[in-house]
Amino acid sequence: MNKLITIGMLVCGLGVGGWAGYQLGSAGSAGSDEPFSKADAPALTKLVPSLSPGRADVDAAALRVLIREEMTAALARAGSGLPAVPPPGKSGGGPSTSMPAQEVVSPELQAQRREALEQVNALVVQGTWGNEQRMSFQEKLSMLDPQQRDQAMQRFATAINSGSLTVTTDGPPL
Amino acid sequence: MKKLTIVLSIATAFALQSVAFAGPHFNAFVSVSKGSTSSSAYGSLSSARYYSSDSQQYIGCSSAADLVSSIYISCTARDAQGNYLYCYSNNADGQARQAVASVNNTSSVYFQVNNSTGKCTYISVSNLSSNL
Repeated sequence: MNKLITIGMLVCGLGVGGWAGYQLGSAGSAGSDEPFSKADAPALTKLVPSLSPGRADVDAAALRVLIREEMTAALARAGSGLPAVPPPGKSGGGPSTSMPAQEVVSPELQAQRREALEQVNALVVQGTWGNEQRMSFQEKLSMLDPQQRDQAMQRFATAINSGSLTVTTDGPPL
Repeated sequence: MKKLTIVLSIATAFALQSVAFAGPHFNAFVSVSKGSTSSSAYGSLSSARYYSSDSQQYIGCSSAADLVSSIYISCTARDAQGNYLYCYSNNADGQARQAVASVNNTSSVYFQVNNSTGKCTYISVSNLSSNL
């Protein structure tokens, strides 16, 4: 009986302690509208009264400045890889300043992609489309960049639809 | 007398079996139509798979993603004569992707393709009990 009373008291104590802790915690976060002074807030985020007390909202002005700085740096990096003047024999103006930053691709990857595109094109023009061609096409397709992949898909689709590829695959051609 | 009862029971069971499959069924065998600028295909999965007498026709759609920039959807059809039609899209919106994802064995699929690009210009998926 004594044991039962002891266990009961422990359980009650834990329950009351947990409840008290929860109440204190929630009072601390919702009790005041301005929990931190603005001087304490980081540059980009600040705590302001909103629908959810204590929620951090983004300082739009600071975010704009940060994005502008990042974009300027990215454009400068992309621009540095381009020649300052157009190569001889090429007409047109210099590199456009509004050109988006391009993916930096290593020469090795470029070569791999070029090779994959050549192989994909060869598959599409060889006239027969079996399981082997389908598998090979899928493998090469995954190596191409989005623009090359679109070109390859377009070639494939038009070849299938025009009947210039004879399909012998088990199931769909792709 | 016992035999008669058994035979009658079996006959009744067979008769009632048709009640379990009530409701209409409409066949939509795969048809591929090729035009000068665009082509189209139509058919139901169930008709192609279970109700056709040839071993040629099928129709369906699939989706794929390169995990970087694009989600691809494509639809394929082959009719009983072996004519293929294929289309793809690398910029399908959420609705088109949802339509493709909803294809199942109650579906009939219609799609159109631009002949010069191979891209899907229209995809329709209807899920109906009458396709089963």
